[in-house]
Amino acid sequence: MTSLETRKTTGGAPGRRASRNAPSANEQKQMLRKLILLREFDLTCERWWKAGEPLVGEFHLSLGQEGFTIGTCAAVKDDDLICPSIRGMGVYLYRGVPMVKLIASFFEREGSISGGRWAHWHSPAMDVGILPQTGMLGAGLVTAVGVALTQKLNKTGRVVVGMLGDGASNTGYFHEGVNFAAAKQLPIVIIIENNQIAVSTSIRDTARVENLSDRAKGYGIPGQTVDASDVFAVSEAVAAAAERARSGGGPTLLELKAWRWGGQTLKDPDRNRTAEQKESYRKACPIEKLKADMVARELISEDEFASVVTAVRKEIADAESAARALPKLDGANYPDPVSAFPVYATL
Amino acid sequence: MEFETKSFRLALTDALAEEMKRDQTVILLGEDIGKHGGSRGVTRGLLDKFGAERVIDTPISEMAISGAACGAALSGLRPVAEYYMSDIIMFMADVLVTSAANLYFATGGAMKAPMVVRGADSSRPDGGPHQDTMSAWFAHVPGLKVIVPATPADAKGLLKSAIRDDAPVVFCESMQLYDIEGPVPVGEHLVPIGKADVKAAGTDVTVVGVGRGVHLALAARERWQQKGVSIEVVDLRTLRPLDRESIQQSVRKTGRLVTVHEGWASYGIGAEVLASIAECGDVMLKAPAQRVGTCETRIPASLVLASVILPNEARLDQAIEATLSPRAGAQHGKGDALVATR
Repeated sequence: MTSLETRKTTGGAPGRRASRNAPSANEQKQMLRKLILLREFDLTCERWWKAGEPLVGEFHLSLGQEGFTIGTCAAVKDDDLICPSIRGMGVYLYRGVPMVKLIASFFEREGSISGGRWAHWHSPAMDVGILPQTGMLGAGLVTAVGVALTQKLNKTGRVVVGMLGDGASNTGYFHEGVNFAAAKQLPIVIIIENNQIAVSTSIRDTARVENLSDRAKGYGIPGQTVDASDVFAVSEAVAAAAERARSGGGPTLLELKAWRWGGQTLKDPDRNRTAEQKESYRKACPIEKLKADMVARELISEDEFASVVTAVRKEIADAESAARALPKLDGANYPDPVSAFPVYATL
Repeated sequence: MEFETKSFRLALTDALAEEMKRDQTVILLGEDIGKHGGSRGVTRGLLDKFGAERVIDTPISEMAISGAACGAALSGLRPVAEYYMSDIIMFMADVLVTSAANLYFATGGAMKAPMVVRGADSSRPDGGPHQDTMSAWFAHVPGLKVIVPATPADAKGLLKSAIRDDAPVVFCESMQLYDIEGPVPVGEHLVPIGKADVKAAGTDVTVVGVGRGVHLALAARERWQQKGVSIEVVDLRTLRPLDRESIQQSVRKTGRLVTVHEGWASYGIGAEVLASIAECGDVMLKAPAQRVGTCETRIPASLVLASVILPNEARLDQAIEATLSPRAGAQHGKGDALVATR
């Protein structure tokens, strides 16, 4: 995983990129590949959906906001812990959760990430440091705060990243979680993935602050807003915040801004936004932006870009085939479901 | 076994102190639990003993307290979170039910949340709010364990077991019991979760009690003994998992069943106890079973009114009477089974 910790941290105004060391060609190539992987994975899900494939679960796509998860994952250490938001597929893909395990849960097969027990976007992958997103919106943040408490008490040197959407940032959980983390100076980076809209409600209608990171001041912690169409601006800000957390400086509130291109989920027709609006959001594309930068610096050609896309598509198609080959979940295999799916206490 | 006399409150304090000494991963979280010693004085002295790193005073943030406890638990600690008073646990309900109770199931046993949420449950009529009894709510949820101790010895032994248990445990302390005193075994004392206890043996009527209800039942036993009626008092101690076998064993002997607990009778603890008998093929009742709970209304702030609404001696006696001469209930014109609960 790329470590960006040695880079200078930003101290600039919210939403603006301060000067920094340029990322290396390798870092740029790796970042571009991860962005493309998430984009193509989402587009594949969308294609299945449109083809009438019976998919299990909700699909909160990251189209247009890939910079949130990819930039964040690139900035932290491999053994740092991340609690993704509901739109966190990028974290699973970046950290190498086998795609077949993800797709198996969509197709209701054996061997999926959740074993059919939980929503795929709630399921933990502790072997790669992905925490369960647990219950309601915002609940992931408070449990992440508790995981950070463990890191502090056990002096593990690990940092926790708690990610949640702009909508969840209006819950009581957000206030309590951020304040708790701030009061106890916990090693956590709190990231608001502001895609400007919660299901159908604009954040403009539910919050008065210009930038959601402005709230940091009220908790006595640093806050920063970053334009997430620039994935390296994201990773730079997260790296600085993670370093602050690791060195005992406590939490940071980062607001990453982008636009949600599609509906809340694949099922949401997103009728409340005009076609013009939606078209305008697509101008801020993290992939196009990075690609243009790399082409200008002659780090990648159009052909090379196309070959990355082809390779990623093949990887996804192979995972799809492998998932389809897995046996379907069958209730008949579980004649005693209480024993098959144990809880701690039955009556 | 050697015993010492301890208050319910101090028995709990001892349990926390002993477990914190034994296991460095045990931490306490809650409002005013440090210097102040917690809302009921249970954590008094523990800040001095174990320091602010492990006895953590929190903001008034139950969602964050329970959430942080869940997160700390799933990542290797054994947190004990205190809620201030009975109904305040509702703020923690989401984390308990949708996060903590779900974790072990949803990860196929790969993850667990060994946390305890403890605090004052049930009523102490004092003209204010916070009188509800929420234990049955949580007993409804597979994945949680729910404990309601009635004596200092059980309070200590069960809290220690709860802390060592890998499940999320809701530990409900009856508000009116903090000051009662009783014998507690000296030294290490563990009480198994999920085991009821016959607090006093009898042959004619089984009274199954929970929390303060156990003490109501024991007092009733004294009264009825003078009338020549022998009552067996079964203390459930744990609501989930429920020790159905002990209930069945007792009722198999007596053939008569009364339940008494705080909290509403409908969809309540007593209902589940009755179901354990109704569903059991070889236990026959000699008379309809009776439930005594909090009356089906809200609990008045007035002490006088509240004492009528909450389970009390009079309604318990009426219920016992109804099992001995079923027609006594019918005379009230409300049917046998409902006389004591409405």
